[in-house]
Amino acid sequence: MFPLQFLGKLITILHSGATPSQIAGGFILGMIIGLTPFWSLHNLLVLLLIIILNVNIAIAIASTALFSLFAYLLDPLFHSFGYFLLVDLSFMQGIYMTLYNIPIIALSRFNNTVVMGSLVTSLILLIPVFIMVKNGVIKYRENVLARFEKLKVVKAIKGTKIYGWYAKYAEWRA
Amino acid sequence: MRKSGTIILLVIVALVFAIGYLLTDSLFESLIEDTATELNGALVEIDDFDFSLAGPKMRWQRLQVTDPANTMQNKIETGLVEFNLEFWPLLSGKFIIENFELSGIKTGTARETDGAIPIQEKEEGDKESVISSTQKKLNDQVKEETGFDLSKLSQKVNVDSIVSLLKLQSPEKIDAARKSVEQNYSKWQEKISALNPEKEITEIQGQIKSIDVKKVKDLDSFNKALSAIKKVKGNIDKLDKDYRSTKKEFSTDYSGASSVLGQIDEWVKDDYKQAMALAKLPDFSTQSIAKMLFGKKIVNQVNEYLGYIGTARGYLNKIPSSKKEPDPPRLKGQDIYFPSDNARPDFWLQKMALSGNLSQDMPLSGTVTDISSDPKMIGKPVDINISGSSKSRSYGLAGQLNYLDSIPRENFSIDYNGFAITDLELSKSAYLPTAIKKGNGFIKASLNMRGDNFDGKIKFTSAQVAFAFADEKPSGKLASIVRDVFNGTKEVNVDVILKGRKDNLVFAVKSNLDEKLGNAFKAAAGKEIEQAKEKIRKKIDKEVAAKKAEVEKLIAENKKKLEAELQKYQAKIDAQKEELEKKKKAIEDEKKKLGKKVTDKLKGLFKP
Repeated sequence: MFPLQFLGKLITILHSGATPSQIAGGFILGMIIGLTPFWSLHNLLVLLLIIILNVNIAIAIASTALFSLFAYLLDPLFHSFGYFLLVDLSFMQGIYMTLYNIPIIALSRFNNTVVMGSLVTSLILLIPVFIMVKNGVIKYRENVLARFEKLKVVKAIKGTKIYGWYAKYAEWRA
Repeated sequence: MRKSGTIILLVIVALVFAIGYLLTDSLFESLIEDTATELNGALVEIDDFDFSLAGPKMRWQRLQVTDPANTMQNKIETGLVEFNLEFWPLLSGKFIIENFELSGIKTGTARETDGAIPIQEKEEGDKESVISSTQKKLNDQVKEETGFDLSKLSQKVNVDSIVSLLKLQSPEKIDAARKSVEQNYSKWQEKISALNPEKEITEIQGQIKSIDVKKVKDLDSFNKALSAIKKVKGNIDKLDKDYRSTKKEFSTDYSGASSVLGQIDEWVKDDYKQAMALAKLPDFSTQSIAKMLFGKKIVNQVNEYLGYIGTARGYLNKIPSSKKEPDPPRLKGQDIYFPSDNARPDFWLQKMALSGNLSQDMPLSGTVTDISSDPKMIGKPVDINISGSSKSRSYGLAGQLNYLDSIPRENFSIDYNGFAITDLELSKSAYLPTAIKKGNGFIKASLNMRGDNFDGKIKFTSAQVAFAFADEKPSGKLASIVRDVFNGTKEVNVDVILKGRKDNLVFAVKSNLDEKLGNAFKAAAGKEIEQAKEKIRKKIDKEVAAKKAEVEKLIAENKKKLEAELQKYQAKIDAQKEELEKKKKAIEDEKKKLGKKVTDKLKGLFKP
């Protein structure tokens, strides 16, 4: 059920008026929340960014749900990667010690292996995924959506009064 | 930038602050209550908790700590408590309290509601700590003593039914021993038969006969006969040596077989012990009486202190290490700590000042310092010092929980003098006193722990004691003897020793009542018990005596037969020895005669 719902939601978003950057922005912010443990201080910041920045909230929610699944599957890898970053990188120990003893930062749980591992992973993925999603949306709209719009059935539906009312409602909602 | 989003965000922030302001107190209150309840093992309640960011400070109107042993009573109750927290550490999730004043402490106050909590089952795979296993062992030791039922002293012991129930081990073992003795006999019989010297003796006889004395006519023939005798003597000596060695071996082996008789006695002893256990005949050792009277009370008290140590050690074990956890729970990960030289632990109560009243309105005051979530980080042990005095009474508690080294160390010492005893519960026996009704008490106790090693001593003295019994009048002779002993006792001394390791724990309780009671019991019921013991012993002896006698007889007979056999052969060898000696003598006589003839001849030759 979930993949179908997700796909439906994705198609709706792709067909909406949201720009590719808004969609890609929402997707990567949702990815950070999804990949990292939810109750972390940095996620509060990401939530604030989702609310304040003009990114697509629907895709952010969908992306969070999707990457939560990945997070569960990749948890052992995040733990090992986080342990490597926190313990094995000896030159970082001084920075960690300073951060650890700074109020508020200590509450960010950066010293947790899974938080550190998943956060750094999502930060590494941030720009590539943004570019990928943005280009993907552009390509989809240029190729698939344009062909879809040219279909006779679609044209016929778009010509109906009901669709006209729906379009006005959608415009108003946007 | 989303305008509407910013507005929504501001609204959310305002809501969060408003809800936070309204709920912080309840959240903190339930968090502290839940944690403290878990540690205490019974309900801990805080009334009117208030947390204020100004300061920041915490306060509450009342704190009730339920006594886990009596959940309708508070172990500790306090009045208003107010203390400040350090602000900046709070932003790092650290609770640092410099001064914490706990005044108006009362002990043993009644509760309006039951403070019991559901018993939490241990998760499978949970390791049993040194403390919990020691507590369990102590409880078991006291539990064992409840089996010591004084009513048994007045009961008749049915020896026949005990013996019929008893499965004696010794008859079977004696039968097996008998078989072994028989096998041993057969083995020796075969061995001796195999060594039959008839053939050798016949040969020796022939050799002796072949030495003809009449043939000794000159020196040469004499020398020949003499060397033949020497040869035969060598053969006889060899035969004799072999037989002596076999005889020695036999005698050693058979003395081993005789030791079976000693084993039989041990088996009978074991059967006797088993019968005694089945009959549950009481042992008048002083330990059982002292443990029965005071054991539970002492164990409860010791276990309470061990519980505190266990809790402290439990938290010590939770101090995380940087060693990689191979498989932490999903989405939980592992926290890595980066403490700096000036770092502070997550929790540190630097000084707690206590004041209040111990039961019976005795004022007490004291301090507990440096309670922290990481003692190594602050480099200080937890020190406890509480004392108080009033008129002729005094109380002092000093303790230290030292977790600075790899081996945890704890020590407590208590001095409590001149306190009034009222209704101090003892046993639930129908014969022994159920409580000390009144009296004055003195306690001096110490408990030192170093890793798994315990060393504790308790000395309890009470004077002007009056005991209370379950029934007003004693029922039966035994009860009245016991009551006379207690009514005639005005001073009770109890010495407790607890030492060793968890797997080798010594818990001994001695009291001046022990000897008095022991003597009284022996006088009253000891004779009957001794008679029953004797009867059981006789029954067992009767069962095994015949079998034992059979084995004894068998061993003796076999030994006699085999010895006779060996002796018979020895006699034959000796006879040959004698024969050879005779021959030797005859030859020597011939030599002498020969010598005389030669001398005479020589004399004739030189005659003028």
